[in-house]
Amino acid sequence: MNLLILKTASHMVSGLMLVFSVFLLLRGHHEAGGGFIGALIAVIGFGLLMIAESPAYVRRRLRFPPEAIALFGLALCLLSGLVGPLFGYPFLTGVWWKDILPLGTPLFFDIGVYLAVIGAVLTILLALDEELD
Amino acid sequence: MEGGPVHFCGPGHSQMTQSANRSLELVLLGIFTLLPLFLLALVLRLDAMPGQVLALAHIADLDFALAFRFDGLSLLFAGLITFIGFLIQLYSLGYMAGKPGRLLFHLYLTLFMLSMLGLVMAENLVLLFIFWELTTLTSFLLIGFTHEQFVARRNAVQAAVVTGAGGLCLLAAAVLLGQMAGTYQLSGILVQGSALLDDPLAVPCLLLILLAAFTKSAQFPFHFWLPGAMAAPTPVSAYLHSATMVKAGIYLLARMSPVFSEMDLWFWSLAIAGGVTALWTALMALRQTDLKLMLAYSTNTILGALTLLLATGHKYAMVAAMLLIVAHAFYKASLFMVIGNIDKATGTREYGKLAGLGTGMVITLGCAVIAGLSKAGFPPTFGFLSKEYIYKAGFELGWLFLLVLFLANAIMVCLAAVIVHRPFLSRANETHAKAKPIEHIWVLWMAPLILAIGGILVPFLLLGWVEERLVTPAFFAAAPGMEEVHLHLWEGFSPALLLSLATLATGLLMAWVYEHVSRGVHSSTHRLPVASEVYFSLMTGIRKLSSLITDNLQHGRLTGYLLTFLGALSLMVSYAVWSSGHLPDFSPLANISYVYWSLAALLVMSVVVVIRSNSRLLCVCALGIFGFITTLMYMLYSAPDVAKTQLLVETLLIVFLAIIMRRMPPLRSGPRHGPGRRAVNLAVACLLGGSVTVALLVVTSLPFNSQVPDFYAAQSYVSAHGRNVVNVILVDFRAFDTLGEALVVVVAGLAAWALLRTGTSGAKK
Repeated sequence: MNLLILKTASHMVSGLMLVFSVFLLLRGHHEAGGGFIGALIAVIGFGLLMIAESPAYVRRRLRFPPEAIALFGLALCLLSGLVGPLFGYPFLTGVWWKDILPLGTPLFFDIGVYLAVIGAVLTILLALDEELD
Repeated sequence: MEGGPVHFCGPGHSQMTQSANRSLELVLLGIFTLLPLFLLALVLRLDAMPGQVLALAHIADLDFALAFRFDGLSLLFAGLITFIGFLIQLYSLGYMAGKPGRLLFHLYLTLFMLSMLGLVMAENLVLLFIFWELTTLTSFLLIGFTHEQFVARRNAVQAAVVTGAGGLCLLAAAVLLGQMAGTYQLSGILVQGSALLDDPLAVPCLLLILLAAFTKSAQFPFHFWLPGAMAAPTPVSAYLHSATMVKAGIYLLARMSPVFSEMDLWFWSLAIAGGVTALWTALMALRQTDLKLMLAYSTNTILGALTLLLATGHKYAMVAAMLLIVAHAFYKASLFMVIGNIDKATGTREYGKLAGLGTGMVITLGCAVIAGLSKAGFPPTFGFLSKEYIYKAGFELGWLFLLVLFLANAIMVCLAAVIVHRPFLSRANETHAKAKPIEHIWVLWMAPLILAIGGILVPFLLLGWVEERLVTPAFFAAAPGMEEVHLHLWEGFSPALLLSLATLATGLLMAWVYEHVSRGVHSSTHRLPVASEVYFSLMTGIRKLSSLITDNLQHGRLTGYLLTFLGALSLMVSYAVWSSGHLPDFSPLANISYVYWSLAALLVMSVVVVIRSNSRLLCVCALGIFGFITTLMYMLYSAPDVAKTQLLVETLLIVFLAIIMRRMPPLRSGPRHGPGRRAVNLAVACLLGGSVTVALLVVTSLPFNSQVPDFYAAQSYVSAHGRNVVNVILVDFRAFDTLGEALVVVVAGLAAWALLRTGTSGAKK
């Protein structure tokens, strides 16, 4: 497929979608959004690029293998849960540090979910596309 | 099974590493051999302490304790396990020399010995079960040690299946017993004794214990795994079938005897199983031509006799059982090692091919004679002592017991005479196997000789010690509160002695005409079903059943999977609605505004398009409409997060379909289902849709408990610092669920990746 308009537009649109997905991820704690929804938007953005360009292009721009991203996200979820026990709370208890910014382990947990979903779905999507070619 | 040979001196090593490995091997062999001796010294230093336990760790909530007990019964078995274990390790040094994987062999033996020790000393029922299973596992490794051979693999699996099934029964029995007694500690259970029998659980508990003990101790009809286990190297047979594995069931029976021995069920099941086992396997032993199999079946006979003795709970029977356990361990281990030496020297164990070995293997002959005398029960051997008490018990118990015990003992005498006479003392001609000299390897005769001589000297010189330290404490552990019995090797002319002499005479007479006896037994029994064949046809049946289920459920047709899964789901939902007892309330349907009705009509129309269309693109579009209308529904019911997720999932679905569609065959190009199948599909679809609708109507008509959502709404900002309740639930309140879901997503991704990649690499090949 060599569609100039689709190619050009999809680069801009998918870039916007990725920014929007991060926005949704970060605002999720107070407004509608969150890690899962953000991840779906990001994956759709990548999917658009995959159709307009090629799976190899997406792999190159991703820089990390999607499986690794998924596992890293899962590890981040686990680690954010292990902060609680360090302070004597049960596993996965939210620990907050609000001196400068409202930071807490739930944020890192949500980022973990975000990366795990992006990685897992992209793994399937890329493998599927490459398998069919 | 990882039974690969351990090559410590592999090729390509330099001279120095070879000698270093050689010394490492020697050190390890030394440790493996001396460990049982060290443990034996520990056991001998201990005095029997009924009621005292050594608790290493205790989990009070689970009533589980890593605790060991040191009463007479435990110490008797522990002494045998470590003493025979040491001699077996010693013997294996010679027997396994130069064979591949010999270090592994010694390691397995050691692990097995430790499991057996744990079994007989465990204070906690759960711990007892764990060690019981460990003996099954380690004996599997030992029986299947020569795993290049099909028979070894098959028989190892057979032993593991039979004794493992018994192990499961033991677990269930342990749970029931723990429930009945209110504790899992053996001391707590044994203190309550027969008071536990009032509980209605006593009968199922006893049945499970009997199943566990009968499978482990190879009682009829589970006896067949024991001769099958002869596929193992001879030291394994000598160890497992003299003092350890098969005695574990006897230990369990003796251990539980204070609780259950007053039940009629206990008496009858033990007496019948033991009697049938003793007689039937004695006949089977006469049929065998392989010397090792003869010994294996005669072990079965002894186990049957032990069970029979334990059935009665009579004082002489209990003493006789304890004596027989010790005597049998001595002479049977020794005889197995004698057979091992014959096998090693000639390469065969076939009765017909062996003769005249006595000239070349003088010390082995000596061991065989002495151990054979003990097996036959000649005075003043250990075997004689135990037989005297067996007959004493028999005279107290009635003529039927006496007859069974007399026949079994007479056949033992015959077998002992045959095993000693034929290979060693008969005249050889050129048809018989030639023997290599093996007696320059001193461990090969040292171990059986110690056991054989011990079987004569111990009752002669150490009878007081045996009575005081071994038999009486074990007797009181198995039969508390009973009158003490004093042991005497010579009690003058008694009916028991006369019967002993009659046994000897009958047995020798049978040995005199052994060929005829053997042929007669063979021709009269070879038409009867053999237990191992029943087992194999059972196993084949299980395999067939499982492949039948697999073929019908895992057929690889997507439509079939969907039908099975949706049909099961609709049945479950219907059952849930029906069993809830609530009738659906259709009144809310009247209040639905026309907007929703028109949306629902659009939904139905899009579904009809999906079903009827002939174009894949149209299908996808209609499916998309369906999804977006669902999203709209969520929006109208003010659930923005759910709506957003639904929208994105629908979009992602389109992306997936866009990628796949390029390669899909045209729609409706494949074969179609027949009218019958389509009717079934329609029925399942209607049932699922109807049952879910009714279930929703039932659920929404029930009063709504708002406690949980109210808590989330109230606490969302206060304690979790977030105003989006949905997100706070996901990442904080119920983060553990989310973690699990993330794990599922990642695993699904990796699984799909693996599947697709294997497809690619397979296609490239």
